[in-house]
Amino acid sequence: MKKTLIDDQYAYGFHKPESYVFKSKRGLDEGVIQNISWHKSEPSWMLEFRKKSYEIYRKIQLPTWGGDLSNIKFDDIYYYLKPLQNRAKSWKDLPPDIKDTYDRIGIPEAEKKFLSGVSAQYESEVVYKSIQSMLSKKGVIFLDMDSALRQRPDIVKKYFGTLIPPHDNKFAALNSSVWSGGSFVYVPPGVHVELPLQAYFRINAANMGQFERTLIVADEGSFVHYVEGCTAPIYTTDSLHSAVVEIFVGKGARVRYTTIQNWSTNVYNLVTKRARVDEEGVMEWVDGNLGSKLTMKYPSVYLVGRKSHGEVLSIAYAGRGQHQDAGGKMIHIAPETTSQIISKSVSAKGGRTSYRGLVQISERAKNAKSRVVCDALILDESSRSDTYPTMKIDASDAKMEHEATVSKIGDEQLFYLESRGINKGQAESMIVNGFIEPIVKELPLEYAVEMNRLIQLQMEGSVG
Amino acid sequence: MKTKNIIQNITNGVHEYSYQIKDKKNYTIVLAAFSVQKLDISLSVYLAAPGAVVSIVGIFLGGKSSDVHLHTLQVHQAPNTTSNLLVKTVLSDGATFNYDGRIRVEKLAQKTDAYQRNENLLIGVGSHATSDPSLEILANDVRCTHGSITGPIDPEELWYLESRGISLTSAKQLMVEGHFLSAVNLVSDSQIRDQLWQKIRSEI
Repeated sequence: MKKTLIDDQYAYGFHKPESYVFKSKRGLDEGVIQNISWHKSEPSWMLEFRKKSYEIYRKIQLPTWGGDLSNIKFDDIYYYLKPLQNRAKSWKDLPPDIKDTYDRIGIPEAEKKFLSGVSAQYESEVVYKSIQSMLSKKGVIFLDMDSALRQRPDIVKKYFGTLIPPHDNKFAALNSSVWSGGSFVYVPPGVHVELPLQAYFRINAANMGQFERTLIVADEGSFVHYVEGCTAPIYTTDSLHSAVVEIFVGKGARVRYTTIQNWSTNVYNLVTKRARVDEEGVMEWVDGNLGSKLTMKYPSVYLVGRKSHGEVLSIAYAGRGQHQDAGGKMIHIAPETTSQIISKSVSAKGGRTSYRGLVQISERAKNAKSRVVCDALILDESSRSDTYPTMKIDASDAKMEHEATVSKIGDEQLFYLESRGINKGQAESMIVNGFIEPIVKELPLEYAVEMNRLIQLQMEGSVG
Repeated sequence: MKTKNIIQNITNGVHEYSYQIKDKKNYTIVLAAFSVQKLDISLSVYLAAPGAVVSIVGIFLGGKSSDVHLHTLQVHQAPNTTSNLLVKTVLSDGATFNYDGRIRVEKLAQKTDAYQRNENLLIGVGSHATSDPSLEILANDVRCTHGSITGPIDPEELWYLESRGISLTSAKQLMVEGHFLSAVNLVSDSQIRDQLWQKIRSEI
């Protein structure tokens, strides 16, 4: 069998010629921010918000913990690109080269499968979007963030930047000042969106940062599953991706947010994701990190309503030159709140995975319960795995459990499979797929298939 | 293999202990503190000899206004080394316990088996526990595990004991003793075990 090395031949490593209507100059100053806002014809409060955020961005230092951020060349980045004058109304109206890009990552198939809406991001702006009439009949709003700002300023202004203010961290401040694209979802009370809402993100220009901004508001008793998947072509220089995702889960509502991150291995993926959950609401983050050079991402849930529940299911794979610093945060501030974090990570070929997390149970959170489980596999001598969970418990009737295990693939498991005539490479990839199975089965089918294939591809390269 | 016991009965103040294990022996290090006010302990253990085995036992009983900080570091520098840490606390009526513990396995230390566990039992109101364990693993052929549990006495278990005719006070005492049992049992010397039990019983 021919061995494939994902590091040598990136699975989605194609590169389309760039076509833009507008491209900002390299680097960032107030002029660039004004330009972005002008190109988008934004209301003045948004321009003010951007300017204020930029001031904050300049004052905040880079985090000193986590991964190595010293190689990001902030002055070399294009902070905004506008690919097309007008948004295409349907699939047919898309220019052929963009259509071709999507064909190769399989959007038409997704469409055929009656996915309820596809919003795809080419460069910094959403150029293609289709919402089935079913969604609008139910009153669900699914727009790109720029359109939402124009069409529903009332909802956007009420929630935007309230959960993740620009002061939160340097990258949240950066995103707040130069954000572009991303999705906006509003689900009215009692409405269940049965099919997952999907958005494909893509970056296609060397040295271009992508700063999408997503806001999801699920009103009382509603349900929505949002899926974000990323594949990106390979570049010659480092690229930065820094998104902000804010989610508001109303009383008794449930939101699931699934991400498969598969950036090429020169992308810095520094993302802030946070959800706020009201009474008896449920928030679930399903987070898969496979690609990128460095990922720092800790989806958080603020449990502010009685009996609310938060969950993070996380998979990370770090291969050659990669550092996955991922985890989850649960902040319990209301009574009877519950949470669970399950993390599975695999490091191989010199890669490094770190689980970093926080569970905080405040004095007011009577009878809160939380469970954190982190399992890590190290596949060879040159790889590394870290676990940094933090637990702060200020309520004396809170129940907190944490377990973490780091180990290699069991010799006995390998021996058993080899004794059945399975070669070592296949056996190892079977064991790894079994290891991440509890989380993969939570993914929508096509992602689960893709995930298993990717792991197989990476594993085949890892045992020479 | 002979076991060596090192016992530290700790009183108020700042304490730093560091051990370099340079022979292939079994060591048990016991840190115990009862009814202290302000306490800050750092314990570092370096396993530098192949085949060394270290057990670290922590027993802390904190009452009103006790404020205990514990930092532990288990560093595996040589292959085939084993470390096993168990820290048990009972925190009542506003006691504060801050724990951070790290296991680090250096590249050379293949076949390491490292374990770290922290269990905190919360009694009464206003107690605080922070648990900050971490693992840094640079070798691949290892087994490293840590666990942490913090919570109150299970009312179901109390109810069970009461249904057997045991008074609520004795039931609670039994639960606290039971909480410390596995930690005390890690000490191989029966004389030291008895001393520890005496101390625990007199405190509760």
